[in-house]
Amino acid sequence: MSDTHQVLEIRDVAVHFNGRSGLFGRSQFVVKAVNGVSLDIAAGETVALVGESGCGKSTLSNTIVGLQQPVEGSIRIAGEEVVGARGKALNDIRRKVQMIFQDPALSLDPRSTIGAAIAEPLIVRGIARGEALKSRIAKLLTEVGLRPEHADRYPHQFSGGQRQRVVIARALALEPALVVCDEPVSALDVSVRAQILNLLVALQKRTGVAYLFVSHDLSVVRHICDRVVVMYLGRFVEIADRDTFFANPKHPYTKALMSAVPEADPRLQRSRERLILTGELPSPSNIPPGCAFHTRCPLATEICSRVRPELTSRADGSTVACHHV
Amino acid sequence: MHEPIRPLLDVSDLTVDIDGARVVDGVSFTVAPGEVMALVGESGCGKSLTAFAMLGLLPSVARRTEGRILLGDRDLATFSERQLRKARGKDISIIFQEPSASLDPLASVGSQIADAYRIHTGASRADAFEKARQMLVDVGIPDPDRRLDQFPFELSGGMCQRIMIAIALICGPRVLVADEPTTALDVTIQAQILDLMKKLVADHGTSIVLITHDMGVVADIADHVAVMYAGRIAEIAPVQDLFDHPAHPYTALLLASVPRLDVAPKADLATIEGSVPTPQEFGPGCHFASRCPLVTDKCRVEQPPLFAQGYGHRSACWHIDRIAEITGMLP
Repeated sequence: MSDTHQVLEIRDVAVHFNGRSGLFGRSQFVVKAVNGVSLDIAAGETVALVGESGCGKSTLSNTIVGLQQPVEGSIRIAGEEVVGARGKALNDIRRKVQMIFQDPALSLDPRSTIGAAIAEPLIVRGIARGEALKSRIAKLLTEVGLRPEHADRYPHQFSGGQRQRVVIARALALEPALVVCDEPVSALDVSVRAQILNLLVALQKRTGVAYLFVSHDLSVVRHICDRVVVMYLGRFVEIADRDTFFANPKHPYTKALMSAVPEADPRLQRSRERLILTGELPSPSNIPPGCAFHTRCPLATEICSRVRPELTSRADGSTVACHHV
Repeated sequence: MHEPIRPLLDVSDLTVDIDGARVVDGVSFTVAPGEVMALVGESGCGKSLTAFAMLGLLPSVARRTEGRILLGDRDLATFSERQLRKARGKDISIIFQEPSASLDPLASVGSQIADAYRIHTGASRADAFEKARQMLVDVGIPDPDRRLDQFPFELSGGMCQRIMIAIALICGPRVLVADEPTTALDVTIQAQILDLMKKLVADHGTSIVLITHDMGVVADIADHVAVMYAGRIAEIAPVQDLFDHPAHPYTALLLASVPRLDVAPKADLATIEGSVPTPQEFGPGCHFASRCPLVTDKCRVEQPPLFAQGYGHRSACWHIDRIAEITGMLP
């Protein structure tokens, strides 16, 4: 059934962690970080995953690249099932999905030159060596806006933005179909952030790579993404195309998130209607029954605390999980 | 119009050196009662050092070499450490970026708030705790009686920042310095904290010096903005003026590099080529010269003073008349 244009197909994925607390860890509990989510990403598409810290967005991204095992569900990358795959089959799939993390200083080995950092995936996969490897590295460095002679330098000789370019070059070395970007510009200064966003867009136009873009910054999301997924306490609460999403957000949590992000325009920012949530994200080890958002929701009624709303399709193509919209 | 007869806080010519390098260079600004002054800039521009210097909290490698910090009619720059200790918390307070790192992990939040009050007023323990409880209500912490006995690890980041604000404000200081107070918090919590700060200004007339890199936060809360670059103020203006008519190439580019509603999706954003120079690389002229699209020979050798550009609006650029060219260079 797999459509070859989908680079990622997630079905009903759940990721749980076992926790212990109390004296000698006698009381056990389960943290349901991700709880039954499904999502497709097409080739060349950029999908944003947004939500507060603790909503499960990083756990989901780690699971997609194979750093976490789901307790249930299926993850297909370019049509191949990841869950349960082993050995060479798994390695071949993993090549197609790469990851970029928030802090480039922590993603690079300070003792290895950036040339070596970019070469590593190519050597491990036995793709190139010798002169071919060198020219491949030079090409990758040029593609991300660095110079081939930078290959002999160490990470500390670069600025934060340049280091993130190196990390991007390394992620692209294996020509992945999907790159999971976990807050890739959050640690960067504003002027540098724009350079990296421009680079990500340009690389996508050239290579057709798809991005899963994890971010809390909705102005960046609006700029770079085709589709937006909002996550709250382990579940998706709204999925919509960018234009629909920003023109007509539906879930009360989406609206709250949007009004919380200040617009960089004083007149607009001070005149717009704002919905400020009271309270904070409940613990994922103790998710409220019914709709998980009902404890902070301005629209909550009795049914919300009993029955969990399913994601349902709306006329404009979005899907929303709410009893009242 | 916010210009009062006399500003509450008048910082002039503040200068800080680290190892002979001038990391804050002649920073001057004033803050009126009940006004929010934002110091914005990228990492390393000297905005946090400016804040620390105002409270005498500079790290030991840094030294304030010049400057006047008038709070009312007293100059904090001439204060002894003993006098500063009395002033900090009572007349001028500070909150930091990482609230959980600023609180004592081994003391209940109630005693941390009450201590701040007892030190400055000599109040009894019971009175101080009652005052602390009242502060928790003021900063919007539900169930204050239970919270007083809790420890920082039991509270979320947003809650810890509210505790920090309670400690900072319990003695009713006239000035609150907030160093990236919401950077470590989620946007929903950031919105709550910004609203709390607005309420403080409205209810108590507290003046705020807000250090931030986020133009959205500036747009939300600031009355005046000082844009800093490489240790100097590049431009200072009332907030709406700054966004509408930036008069320094750095400000103009910075504003254009933020994705805004009127920029088409996936279109190229404006960027600033190169990176911020280190203090060792500062030249004799304008510090932005190495990255500025309008640069001329004069910029490299002669430092531009802050030229008046309108009411309360000043810009340190030799080519203010050519700022419009920046717009033409944008993607």
